[in-house]
Amino acid sequence: MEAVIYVIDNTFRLLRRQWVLSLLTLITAAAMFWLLGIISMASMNVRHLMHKLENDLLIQVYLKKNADVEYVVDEVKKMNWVSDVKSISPEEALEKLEERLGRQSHATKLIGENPLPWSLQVRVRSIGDTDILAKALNTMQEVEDVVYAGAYIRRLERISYLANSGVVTMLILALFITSLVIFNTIRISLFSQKDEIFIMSLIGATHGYIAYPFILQGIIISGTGSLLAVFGLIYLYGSGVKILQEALPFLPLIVEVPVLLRFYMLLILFGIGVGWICSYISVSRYISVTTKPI
Amino acid sequence: MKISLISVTKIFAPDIVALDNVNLIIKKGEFVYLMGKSGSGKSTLIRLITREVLPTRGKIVVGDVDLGKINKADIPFYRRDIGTISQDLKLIPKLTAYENVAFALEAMGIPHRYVKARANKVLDQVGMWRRRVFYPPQLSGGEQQRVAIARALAKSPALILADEPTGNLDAKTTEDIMNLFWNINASGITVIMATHNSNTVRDHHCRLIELQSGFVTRDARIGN
Ligand SMILES: Nc1ncnc2c1ncn2[C@@H]1O[C@H](COP(=O)(O)OP(=O)(O)OP(=O)(O)O)[C@@H](O)[C@H]1O
Ligand SMILES: [Mg+2]
Repeated sequence: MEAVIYVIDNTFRLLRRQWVLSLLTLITAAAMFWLLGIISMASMNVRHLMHKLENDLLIQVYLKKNADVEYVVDEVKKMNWVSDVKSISPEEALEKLEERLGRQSHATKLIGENPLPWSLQVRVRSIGDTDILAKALNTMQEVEDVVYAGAYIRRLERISYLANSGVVTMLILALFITSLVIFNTIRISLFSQKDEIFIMSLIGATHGYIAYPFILQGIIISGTGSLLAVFGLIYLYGSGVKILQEALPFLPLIVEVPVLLRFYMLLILFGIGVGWICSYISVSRYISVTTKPI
Repeated sequence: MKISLISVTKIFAPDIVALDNVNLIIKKGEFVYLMGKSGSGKSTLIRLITREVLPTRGKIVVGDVDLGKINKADIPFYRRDIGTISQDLKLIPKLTAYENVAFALEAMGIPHRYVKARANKVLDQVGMWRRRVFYPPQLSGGEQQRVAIARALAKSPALILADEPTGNLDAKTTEDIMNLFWNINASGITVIMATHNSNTVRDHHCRLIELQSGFVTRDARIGN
């Protein structure tokens, strides 16, 4: 208990003594975690959108007049990329068409014969395989035509790829900057306490005892940084979602509170973890070098 | 605390021989003067005992601890039995006399309530209690030295290592400080004191070890 009080006491003394530096580090960490949060949330939303589309995505396959429907269905089912196949008879298709056209549909009856072919609704397993599946379907003898939202998917796919690689790059960059700044701040703190550390080690203080205030300093700076970042994110995401939903009401965005909360919690924990690791490395390196016997 | 140095040689890179094949056995309760010119190896010998310096060759045993075999994690606990007063007086200027002493106790993990009583007691013992809330820069050299002694004494060590504790003090202050050390020794604590001022050596029951460029050139018991 005494030791805990001592550590906390000392931590705040360190923070007070180095308040300008601590504040600058905190702001940097907050900005970096905020950036990290924004990018992660954007990528989460793109993924969410893709997932939605994936579930909705169907490839329409129109068959030739005299095709053996059952055979084609079997063949298509054997393809790797396919998760589900449904065949639609000309009659069903006509019904659907009539449904969609409403009253005017009586007109279709005037034609007499049903002009629609058999068709298949093919569900793709993964959105990335849409193109290749469409191509494969197109090569089949019995297939007249293949229709799907190809270009749209491809664009989304690229966005998602870019978003993902962007996220990784930014993650590494932001992490690097944050780590470096925290590492250095703790190092400067350590140097400012050079004599104390030397005396403590000579007096018989354990390395842990010497190190804890500095580690806690790192955790507080980084943790507070991520907490501030989360407040910023809550505000920004809330207003961003509002604007987007007004402009593009059909866009499926992540608005579920538990999902968002979990993300924010993770970001804070991440901040704490980063502070912990950086200050730990900084402190243990410093102490092991300065207290090494010659 | 008994201290044995067996064939201890310390060579600082690349080729500075600070101690050369030193053999010493210091018994519990002894008062040892470590004499010798500047650069003769006095500080090095002291720092070997605190394990700030490792011997190039030889073996050092303090109490029942073989310093060549001690675990890294045990070093802090080993040092808790030793009170050091270093040559370049290491008080923390940002802390008061009292805080400097209390800090040392707290760093060993001693509970707050004991720290207070103990710090006050040792400050009183060295005659610094009335100036306990002064900062080191506000204290004279002799007073600062007393605080450093109080800090070393605070943890009730079995051994006091003092490196030039009367370095830049006048004769009268030196006398006072020396009396403190004699009292400490009288309470059963082993004292090893490095000094190049032979005036500090008094006609007392003590041991005198003289170093000359790393060699022990004289080892005598005087005063009995
Ligand atoms: N860290 C070190 N690195 C290299 N050489 C050192 C180191 N410490 C001491 N020495 C050398 O070892 C020799 C003995 O030094 P030491 O400090 O033990 O002398 P001393 O007897 O305490 O002298 P003084 O009376 O001036 O304090 C000197 O030549 C010194 O230059
Ligand atoms: Mg010296």
